[in-house]
Amino acid sequence: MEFNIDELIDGYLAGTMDSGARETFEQRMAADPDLAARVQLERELFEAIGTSPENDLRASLRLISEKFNTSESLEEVVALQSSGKRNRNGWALPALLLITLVSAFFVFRSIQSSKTESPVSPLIPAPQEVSPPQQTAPAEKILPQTPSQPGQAIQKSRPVASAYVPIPKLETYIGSYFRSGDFRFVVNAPATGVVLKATSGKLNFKLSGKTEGDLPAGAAFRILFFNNNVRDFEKMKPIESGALVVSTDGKFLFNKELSAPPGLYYYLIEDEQSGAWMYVSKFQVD
Amino acid sequence: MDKKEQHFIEGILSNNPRVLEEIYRGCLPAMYGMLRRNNGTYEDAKDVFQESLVVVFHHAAKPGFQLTAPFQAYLLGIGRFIWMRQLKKNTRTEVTSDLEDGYDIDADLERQIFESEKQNLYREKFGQLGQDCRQVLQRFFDREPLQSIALDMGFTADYIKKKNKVCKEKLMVLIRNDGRFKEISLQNHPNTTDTGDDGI
Repeated sequence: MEFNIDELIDGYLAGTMDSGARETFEQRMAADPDLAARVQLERELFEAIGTSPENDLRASLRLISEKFNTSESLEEVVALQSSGKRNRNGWALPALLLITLVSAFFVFRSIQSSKTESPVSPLIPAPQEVSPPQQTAPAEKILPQTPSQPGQAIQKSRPVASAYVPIPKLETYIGSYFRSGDFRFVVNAPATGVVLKATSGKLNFKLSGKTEGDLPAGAAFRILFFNNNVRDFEKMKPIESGALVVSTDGKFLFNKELSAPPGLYYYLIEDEQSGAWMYVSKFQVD
Repeated sequence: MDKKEQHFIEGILSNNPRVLEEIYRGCLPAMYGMLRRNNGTYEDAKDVFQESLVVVFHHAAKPGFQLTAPFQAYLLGIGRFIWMRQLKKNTRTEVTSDLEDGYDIDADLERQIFESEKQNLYREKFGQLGQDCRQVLQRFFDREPLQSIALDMGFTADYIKKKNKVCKEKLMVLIRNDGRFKEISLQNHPNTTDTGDDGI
């Protein structure tokens, strides 16, 4: 008898019952709340466990979420996928390994040639001269950006001093605008990845820009500075921080002297109240 | 709803990986910032973020859906509600004012969040079954005919029918015996939402 109930429930949920049997079954459920609850639970189990649009979405989200973990290979994965050759057939890992091997070869060759060619800064990536962005100080140089093509990743792989090793988690957010629809931060200077000169380990850091959109009344922001120490970033222990005051016309100008030995640095602008990030960028100190 | 917001909603509804990644890049830091202030880790933020997107997926699929706030505020509002419930359940931690203020969750959205919680509970309980049960039930819930499962697994159809019945019963007992099931079911009932959780 109970076995028949199972078959009836299966048939009802699968929609294979004829209309007469369906009507009878629905009358039975109306008279028996326990049966109705059981059918409801089973219906929900189909949605939660079986193939469903929600589970397809969850699968996509799990894949995307993996890119935002602390894996050291994050940058390579992002570089691979931003090339437009999105992987769905399981070749990403072999490709990643191949790139790593080829990169290792270039690194090895670079070390070998640096021993015989130039003694200048063998462990620091050479800054590339590019057209200066708007309102950037003329003396500033632009660092190579995070590679966006697999080929670039191979060509730019060089030995990097530990102080210049990027934090993948932060690199992912550089260039993103974190507000949609209300307001955002636009930084005019310094440009992302710029090389700044420190004097006797001290850097006079100047940040200027404006907010676009409607800034909420009473909004307050902080700027947090990190070096490339992942643990400090994860514990949210900045090397320096300060209030970022936005004037009524939306402009801001921030000045601070930082103790900054040569290396890679990041700064975050965050909403003081909620802690939400508004802007992430980086610079290098020479 | 402006074009950007429409783009986000459509990207979620169509499961567009490029748009979903754009949303992660744009909004995950804010979610992390919010949770960090309230005893949450980066991993918590990623989990809550994923759950929030699933809630948006269901909410936005309903006829007559209107986004009444900027997309990020809407998403953070959902995340805030989910995290607040977790804090209250797991740690009884006092929540800060920034977690309690913000986007208002209406009754419909609240029901959707409870529905997602319930489905997560089902998945959790399904994961507690033995491997043989999971194998049969996964295929059953994927709507594969029992005869086909039996043939493929090298059993008789009768054996698989009985196995399926026993495993389904086990799963239902696990679910019904979990206190969260009753709590969520009560909260998800339209007539009891006002008297249950005190909301945001």
